Amino acid sequence: MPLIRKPAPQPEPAASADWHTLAAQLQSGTPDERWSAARALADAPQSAPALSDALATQTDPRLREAIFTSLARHNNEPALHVLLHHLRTDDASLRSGALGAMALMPDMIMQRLDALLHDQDPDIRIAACDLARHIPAAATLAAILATEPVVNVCAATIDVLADIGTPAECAALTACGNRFPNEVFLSFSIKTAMERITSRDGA
Amino acid sequence: MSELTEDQFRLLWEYFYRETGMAFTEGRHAYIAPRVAERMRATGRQNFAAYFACLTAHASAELAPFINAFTVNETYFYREEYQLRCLTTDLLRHRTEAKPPGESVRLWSLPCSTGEEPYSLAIFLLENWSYADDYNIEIIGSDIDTAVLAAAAAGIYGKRALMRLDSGLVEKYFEQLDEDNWRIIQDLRDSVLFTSINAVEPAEVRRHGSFDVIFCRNMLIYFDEISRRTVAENLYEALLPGGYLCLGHAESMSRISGLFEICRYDDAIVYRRPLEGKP
Repeated sequence: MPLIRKPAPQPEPAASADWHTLAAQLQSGTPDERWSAARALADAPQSAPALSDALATQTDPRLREAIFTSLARHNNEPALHVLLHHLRTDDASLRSGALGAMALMPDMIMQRLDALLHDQDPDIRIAACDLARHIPAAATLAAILATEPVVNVCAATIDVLADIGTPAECAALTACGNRFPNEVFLSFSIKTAMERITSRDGA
Repeated sequence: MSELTEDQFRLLWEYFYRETGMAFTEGRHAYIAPRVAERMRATGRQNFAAYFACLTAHASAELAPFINAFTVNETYFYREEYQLRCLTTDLLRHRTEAKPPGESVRLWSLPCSTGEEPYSLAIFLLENWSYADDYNIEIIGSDIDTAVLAAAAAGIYGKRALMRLDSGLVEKYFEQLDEDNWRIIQDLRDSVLFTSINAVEPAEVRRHGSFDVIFCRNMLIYFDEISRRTVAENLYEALLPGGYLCLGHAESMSRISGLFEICRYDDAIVYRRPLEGKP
């Protein structure tokens, strides 16, 4: 029979490198060392600035993904600060990676959602809508519709409310449509969202 | 035992999640409460506080049975057979293109439950891969549930587990114990290694080495988003460059991680770790 069975694998010895060493490897090691260092730094919650520096200089998408995962696993304020910083960059892959990592931190996002939805940058506000899709934030989003000046941000909000909204948000949707009477696509979005909400509610 | 309170549910949820990366959801009180009650009876604890203290004590012997109570182990031989066909027609053909005869082909079944999947891999390869004799085929089955690993090593199955196998295969690879039970033959039992694993822990995955093909079907659904991504990175590390990952038919790696390439073959869609230099 060509099947072979080798002895059971033994536990690996515990990693001994401190986080400063790992941070240095992240910048100057071989590709495998950089990948391993990025992953190991998930267990060093103080390493967010080092991970951020690496995001700025390392362009390997696999390495960046590992860095973003480690930041998400930190799930703390410094990590969120780093992710917000990269959400504002011109590099689309960094923005996308940061948004993906933030989506892995629902508790942190819940605490910061209102601030994000009032950010000066409309692109950040749109990103915040996307992040709200997986947390209980329908009422917060509905409140935004009363004052949000940028129609594209309203459209993003409506799109998410179509997924997570309840009949309680329908009045805010209607009022938003009244604020932008000449935006035909917005009226269509609101109508669709309300149909989805009511059909879900009646199901 | 009376219903779990919200606080008790949260305590259990947080502890289970910390230990396994698997997440209970809010609607699962009805699933969880009877299992906790059963574990309390088994350990002789009269109330939740006493049980939780026993569970969370340092090096508690209760941790493994507690985890075992919440894992789902329903499976059968040749489940999702199309992936087995894909393995022999496409995946191994690619994996052995640059592998001289005599080298190892390593396959990992994770989670392996009571062994149906790793034994299915063995049987299917022996029956359908014409190059099986040219390579050293190593099959490892791993699971977080230590109770099922013992059952897998014992290799005893009922009719339901064998329902997809034709009688010729049953006769060739099993010995009938009684009217309702069959045991997989000694040669196969001696050929598959079973190990315990917590797939969220990088070190536990790493110690198993590198694989040509990993079958990880219907496991990721038990994890929350961040644990799922951590497991995806662990599996990526556990694959040789160009190695393949097979998920359950309803699962998609594309929604979890961008590390893998999607490969569409006639029989299945699978994921591949890119070759070096092709991130």
